[in-house]
Amino acid sequence: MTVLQLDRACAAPWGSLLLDDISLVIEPGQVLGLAGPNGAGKSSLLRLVAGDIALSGGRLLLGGKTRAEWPRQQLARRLAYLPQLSLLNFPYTVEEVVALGRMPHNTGLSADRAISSQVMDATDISHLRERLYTQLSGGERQRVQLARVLSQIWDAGDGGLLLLDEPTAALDLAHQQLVLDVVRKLSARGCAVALAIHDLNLIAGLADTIAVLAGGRLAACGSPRQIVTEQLFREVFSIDVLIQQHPDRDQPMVISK
Amino acid sequence: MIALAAALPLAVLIGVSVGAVSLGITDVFASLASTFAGGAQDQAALIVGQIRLPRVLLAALMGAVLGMSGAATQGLFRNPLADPSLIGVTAGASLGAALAIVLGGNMLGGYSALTAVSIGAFAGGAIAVLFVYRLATGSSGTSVSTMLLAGIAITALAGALGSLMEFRADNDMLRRISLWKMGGMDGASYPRLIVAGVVSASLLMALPRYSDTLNALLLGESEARHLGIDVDRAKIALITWVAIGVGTSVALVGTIAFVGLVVPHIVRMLVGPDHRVLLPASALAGAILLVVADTLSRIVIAPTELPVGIITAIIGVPFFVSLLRQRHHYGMQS
Repeated sequence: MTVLQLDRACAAPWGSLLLDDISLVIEPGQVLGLAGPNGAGKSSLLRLVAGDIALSGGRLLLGGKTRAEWPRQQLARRLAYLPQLSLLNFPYTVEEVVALGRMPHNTGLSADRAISSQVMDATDISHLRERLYTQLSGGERQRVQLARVLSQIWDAGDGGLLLLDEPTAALDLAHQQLVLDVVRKLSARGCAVALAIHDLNLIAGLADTIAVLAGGRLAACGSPRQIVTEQLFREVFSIDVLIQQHPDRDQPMVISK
Repeated sequence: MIALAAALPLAVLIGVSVGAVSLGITDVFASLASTFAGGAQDQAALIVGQIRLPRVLLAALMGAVLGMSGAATQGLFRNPLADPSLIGVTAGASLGAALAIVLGGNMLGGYSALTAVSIGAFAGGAIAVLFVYRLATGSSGTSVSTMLLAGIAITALAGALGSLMEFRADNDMLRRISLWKMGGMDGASYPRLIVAGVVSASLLMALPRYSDTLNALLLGESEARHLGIDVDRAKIALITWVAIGVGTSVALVGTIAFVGLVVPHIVRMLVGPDHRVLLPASALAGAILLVVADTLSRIVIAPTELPVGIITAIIGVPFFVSLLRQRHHYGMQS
């Protein structure tokens, strides 16, 4: 069953067209990377799928059904979204924030606790569990929010879809790697992941498919090797770069000139 | 939480026993027994049964309503400094009461005047909330930040109209308006207690069902939506309950500043922001604060009574300020 299907989807939440004629498909376990310059529509696309902005044309199917056909709670069990910014300014402990991700589930306290501690280990925040969220650094907060959406989607399996908007933006190199590992782990369990990341070197080693957006339209879509080319960087990002083979892994690598 | 639950009966007992005529604890129990048994009523039994008990219970119920409504409002607006009066209910109620006093005051006397003022206050509060709600609701749902601004606008408008009423009022009316604005339990009676009991029982049972929703709302509205919560329905329900609760309390005991703002804030500093604990704890703390404040208002310059709103502020502010000075211990940022 296809997790997400977009057919010629358009969105114009504030009058002008933000997303125009987007067609995409995500299968279970697939990792989709979204790339593109600032304002290209990466976040808008994630928000469209998450339901924050409405479809103004075309079709959006989640697991074969439209959003309206899903009961809220059941959709929340298989679709989780990590926005770029978090507004939380109340002094929850880290553990409490992560536990909020289990709200749509009725799996019982002991199962919820087990999942919470697994995702806190996976995001390296177990040592912070008693700390107050408001007293954490930016990168720590980002990992806590990531753990929250992970706990929401952890046991979703094949139908699951996790949307991540710049999950590595505030993270140091080691924790960026940690996020990539978590995404791989989740995709190995059958959960699909769509993520917007600026660093194409990160995404080229992670994504099965990369979709490049420019001006609200899909400029290119394909495997990392098809997408990460010097020509694309000239056309979409207006910058000259060198593309080389990664010395250790089978992935292209971007080197700025 | 347990300490709060234990402190409330104690505060009620003290509230019943002290006053212009001081009674011992044993007298109180004897009087309570004779009140409920319907036996011979001596003077102590009359004081306890007819004056103090309804008054203290009214204070406890209204304090609980204000405390819990305040906690729910702060959660809904995601702002620890929000207050139930932000949605316009208090200002609307004050205007309604002023209208009732000025326009109807001379025709009605005594008890019916008091009731007319209460009805005017409740109607004024309800109309103000409806206005604010309509202003903040557009095609994309209800925006809480627009609601806050609309609340400020309606509060200013109601304040201006209220001043106009005061300008028209004679000296006697003016005094009644300003006393009413300061709040007081002196109108307590069993019929009013029944109204208060029904409203507060429904509210105290209804709001805790939204604990999880409020917990998720602290993350942000769209985050709560992604957790499977029907945010728009929850907003309407919460605003309605808060309007009913605060509207009733303003109608019955006048505007009592501070309880709805500060009690939840203090309780959050002590027990954390989890609404499953915060809501009932705020209700208990609000009840205790108002019972203690009402007791003090009767004994400070007895037999004259001070308006209770003055006392809540005088007790609450120093406590609040001392907590604010060490707020970094509690992780509050704003």
